Formats: sequence, C-alpha cells, structure tokens
Amino acid sequence: MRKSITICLLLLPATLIQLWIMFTGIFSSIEQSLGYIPTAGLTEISRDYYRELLADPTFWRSLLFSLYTALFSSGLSVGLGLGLAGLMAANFPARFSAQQWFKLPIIVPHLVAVFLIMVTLGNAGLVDRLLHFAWGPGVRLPNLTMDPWGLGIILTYIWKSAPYAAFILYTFLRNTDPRLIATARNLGASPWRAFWHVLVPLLKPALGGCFILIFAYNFTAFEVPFLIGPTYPKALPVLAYTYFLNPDSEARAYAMAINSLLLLFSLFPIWFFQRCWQNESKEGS
Amino acid sequence: MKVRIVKGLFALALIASLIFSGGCGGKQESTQGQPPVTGKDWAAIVAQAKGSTVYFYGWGGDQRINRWLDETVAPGLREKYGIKLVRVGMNINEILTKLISEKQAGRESGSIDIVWINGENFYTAKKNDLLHGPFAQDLQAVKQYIDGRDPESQLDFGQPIEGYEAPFGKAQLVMIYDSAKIKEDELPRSAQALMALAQKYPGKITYPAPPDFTGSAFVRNVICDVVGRDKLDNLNPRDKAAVEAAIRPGVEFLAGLKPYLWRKGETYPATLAQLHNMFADGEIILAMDYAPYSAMGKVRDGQFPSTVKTLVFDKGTLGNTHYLAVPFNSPNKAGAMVAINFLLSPEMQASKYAAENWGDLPAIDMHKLSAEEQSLFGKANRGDAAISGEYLQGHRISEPYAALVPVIDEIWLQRVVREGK
Repeated sequence: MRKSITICLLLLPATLIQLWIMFTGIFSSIEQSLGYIPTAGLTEISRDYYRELLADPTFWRSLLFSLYTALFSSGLSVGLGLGLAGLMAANFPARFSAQQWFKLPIIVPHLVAVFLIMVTLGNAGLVDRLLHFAWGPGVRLPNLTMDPWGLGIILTYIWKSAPYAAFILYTFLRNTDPRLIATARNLGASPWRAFWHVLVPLLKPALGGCFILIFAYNFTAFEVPFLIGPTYPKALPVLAYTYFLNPDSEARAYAMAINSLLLLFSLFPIWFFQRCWQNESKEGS
Repeated sequence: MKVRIVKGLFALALIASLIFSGGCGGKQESTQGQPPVTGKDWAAIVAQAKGSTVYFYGWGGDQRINRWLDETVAPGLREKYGIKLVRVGMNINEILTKLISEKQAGRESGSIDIVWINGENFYTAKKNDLLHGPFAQDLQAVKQYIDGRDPESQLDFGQPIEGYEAPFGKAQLVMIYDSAKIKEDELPRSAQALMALAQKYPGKITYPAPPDFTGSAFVRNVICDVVGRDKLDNLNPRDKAAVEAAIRPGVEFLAGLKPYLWRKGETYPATLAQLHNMFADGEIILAMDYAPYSAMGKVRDGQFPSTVKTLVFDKGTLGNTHYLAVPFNSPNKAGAMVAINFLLSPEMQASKYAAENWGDLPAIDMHKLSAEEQSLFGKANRGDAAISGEYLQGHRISEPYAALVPVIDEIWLQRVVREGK
C-alpha cells in the first residue's frame, strides 16, 4: 500500500504538468467552439456553431469518410499486425531480421510515408511505370492516391500502423505461457486452431488497446488525408484545417467545434472496449 | 484504494489546470521600459537599435530565401548597423496563433520583432490589433523609394495598410509550361486558350485545390479573366449569393473545364509542391507559381527541363505585394524598423531580385532610384524562363478584397468539385 502511494507521489509532478497542458488545450478549444474568442471580439457563448455544423451535409460526408477510413485502416492494421506478430513469435522467418524490418515503418514519419506511397503507388509512380514498361501504354494502375474511396489514406495508415500493432502484440505473445500452446497442440489442435482459439482470446485486451491507439490517431490526424486524400469529401481534420485557415474569426469556432467532436468520437471506442471487457470479466467470474 | 488515489490525483490535476489556465489570463508585465519609437528622429532610432538583436519570423519553406536572409541580409545588417538578425522559420498561421495567444495572455513583451505577412493574414492581424503602428511612414526607405500612389502601397488585398506594414517585395502569378511540349500558338494566354489546350490534351492539366495559396489564386485569376476584374470590386463577402452572382460565368467556365482536367477534375493535388512534382514528372503539361522566377530557379537546379518557360495571361495575372510588419509586443521596435529599412534599400532589393538569391520582384519604385542604383538591378540575371519585370508590371491585376478569398474557395468547392459534372 505504502509503496503504491510513493509511486503515485513520484509520478505526481510529471502527471500534473502533462494533464495541465492537455486540459488547457482541450478547455480552450471547447471554449472557442462555443464562440468565446475574446481576441477576435467574440464573447457570446452559443451552441449555434455546433448546430450549424450538424445541419451541414458536408460535415456529415466528412465525418462518414473519416470514420470509414479510420475504421478500415485500424481494423486491417490490427489484423495484419496480429498475423505478423504470430509469424514473429513462431520465429518465421529468422526472428532477428524480421524484427529489424518491422521497425522501419514505425520510425518513418507519416509525411514521409505519404511520400513513399505516392512515389510507388501514385499516378506516374514506380509501379505504374513498371506496368507501363512491361505491358506497354494503356496498362495503368487504378487510382490509389487522392481517390474518392480514400484507398491512399488507408494504405498509408496500414503501412504505418500494422508494424506498430505487430510490435505491441508480439510483446504480449512473448509473455504468454508457451505451455498453453504446447498443451493445445498436444491435445491435437492444429497450429492455426491453437493460435485462433488459445492465443487470440488471451490477446483480446491487447488487441482492443491497440485498436484504440491506432484508431484515435488515424481518425484525428491531418497530414495524411490532406496530402493523399480526395478534394471532396475532405476528412474531418482537413475540414477543420480549412475552417482554421479562413481569416474570418467566426470560422475558427467551427474549426474548434469539429476538433471537439473529433475528441468526443475518439473517446467512443474506449467506452466500447471498456464495456466489452467489463462484460467479459463478469462472465468469467 | 489504489483506484481512489488515482481518481483523487486526477481531480486535483483537473482543478489545478483550471486554476492555472485562469491565472494565465491576467496581465503579466505591463511594459518593458522600452522607449517609444513613433515620431522619433531617424538618427535616434538607429542609435537606439545599435547592438540589439532582431527576431525575424516568417515562412521558412524555401532554402534559397533562408540562405539569402542568413548569408546576405544578416551580415550586412551587423556590419552597417550593429544589429544581429535571427531568422525563425514559421508558418504565418502559427505566428498569428502565437501572437493571438500572447495577446490573450497579456504578454506585452513578446518574442517576435518582424513578421513577414500579407493578404488575409494581415487582415486578421490588423483586425485583432496584433500589429504595432503606424510605423512605415517613418522609415527613410519608404519616404525615398516607395511609390505612394501605387495601389499596393495603400491596399493589401483590399485592406487599408495605414502604415501598419511596409512593402518588402512583389509576386505575380505565372503559368509554367514546357516549350518542347506546347506549341507557340497553343499557349494559354487567356481562359479560352486554356480551355482549348485542355481539350487538346485531356487529363494533362490541373491546379492545386484551394485553399492552397497558389491554387486559390489561379481560380480567382481564371474567374477575373472570364468576368473581368472589376466585377470583384465592391462585393460584400458576407453576401455569398451576390458574390456568386457576380462571378457566375467564371465559375461556370471552371466547371466546363473540369471534365478535361487530370482525373476529370474529380480531385486535385493539395499543395503546390505536389503540382510541381507532377509537372516535373511529365504527368501534367502546365503548372503555375505565384513566385514569377521560381521556375527559373528550378531549371537551374535541374528539377525542370531547360525548355521550361513562363507566361502570363494577356489580360494580366494577379499580383500581390508581401510586406513586413512589427508585432504589437515586439521587444525591439527600433531594431525592427532599422532592419526593415535596410531590407528596402536598393542594394538589398537588387540582391533579392537576383535569380540566384531569390528572384523576387522589388517593392521599390525604379523611377525613384539614381542611375547608379538602377544599374544594380540591370546586373541581376534572371534567365530564359523569366518574363521581364516591366512586362509583368504591365500585365498585373490587383488581388480582390481578402475576405472574398475563402468565399470564392467555398463556391469553387461547391459548384465545381461537388456539383460540376
């Protein structure tokens, strides 16, 4: 008990600073989203900005587009990451070389990732030129970047986050008792069955956590959809940016309202998984 | 128990954050004991500025411009006035956000002495009282070299300047093309010629999507070419319907152009850099830039082929002036004024005009210079891609009112991207 208090006290200063920075930011954006921007001469608190935003079909198109790209990219990343982690844990191929490879996309910044995807999969990109070279003119790669389906965004995010998920899940896999798998195998389960029915259930909390982390980023980050997304519909963070750039000070309130809604929507998966875990632990006991 | 401790800490942090954020709203220090600079004799301002440090904040996205400021301007300023110039590269939106938060926090002594600014950002800064002034009329160089009758000395994107910024340089939109690919008689010297070119080479033309600075200017320029620049005067930006009615033929023209554009105009590159990459790759045959001599620099660097040239519309292209301003809370206003004055001297303006340094059009009036000073500009070589400064000046139309810019961008998105077939 005493030990845990000491730990809490030791963590207190850093936590306070972090929370302070975080909450002042959140507080100020919520304040501005309600139209309180004294430097711009706006002091009247009002919910009109939210109301108008929610009545605007462009906002809903953007919201759906952002939700769709974020859900797909995070879901596929976690799935792929799980597969990769499984391969790494099974020591396939040689573990060392594999680990080094997976680190690369994690270190590379998102901006560079966008550039790499553009250079390889974009129009007049590497793959497009190879196709052209191999099969002559007329053979072209379909539009994978700046496309209305957001494929470029999803591809970039998968390239970035699948290895990240693999790393988190791999750590969990390494810490599970290998005897569980051995027992399952001994009882006649195929490697696939042992993986799916023994390991995956054990990994559920890690999978959920991983998904939340990746989703929160992919849903709210601006640079990837800005550079590789379509002109319309814009992803929600890009829409906020467009409002933010507008010199009219009232537009800033809309930008902040979008940011506050982004925050709210990012909390949703946390709530969702929390509920799932609670139910599960109830069932377990 | 542990949970309760964590919860308690959480609540404590929350309360602390509220107190802190409230506490920061109060005034910190009122003034820094800085002597006033307005209405003071110039020699006294120069004496006051000696030995000080000036912080220059502005866009840092072009290595050549940065190098020019660091390696030509800064040493010159130190030698001549004993002022140390520190350049900080920062996007103008971030600079304004910083100034707004400093204003909110009541910080009377800030960290920025000079800010490189124009257009809607000047409008925002001036409207929110973020700038010191009026100061421009006190500068020697402004009195001596700036043409006060030039509309761009009075209005910045339609916004009255009133001495709150001093002109630094001029830019003008130019189209960039490869003379090896487009024949002389196909050149898009008007909106109609642009349409003919796009129909001849479908999928080979595009422009950056507004609100990209250059893409937005291109859209306005095409609209002006179709409807006439004067139709954009005296419009109330709050009255979207009136704006739309005034520019309708121009917007309809852009919607008509859409099916012949790259990707049938369904999507557009988001930035100018992407557009230039596509142009360098040969994916498109026309590019544009608001810096008239940047294509020339890219030919020199080998990014563009040597056959690349630039052109402007016969009816003219949009031009704007970029300016230097002093923030309301600059800790060194005297130093800032001396530095701005130095940047407006014929030596620095000629050095800035040289293509190997920057290639930016001078803000000062050539007719006000002595023969010797004029010869400084004659030496600046601009290369084949460049159009002469006089020709640009003769084909220059002024930017409309800044507050119209986002309205036109919005109309473009709605009528061209969403509803255009």
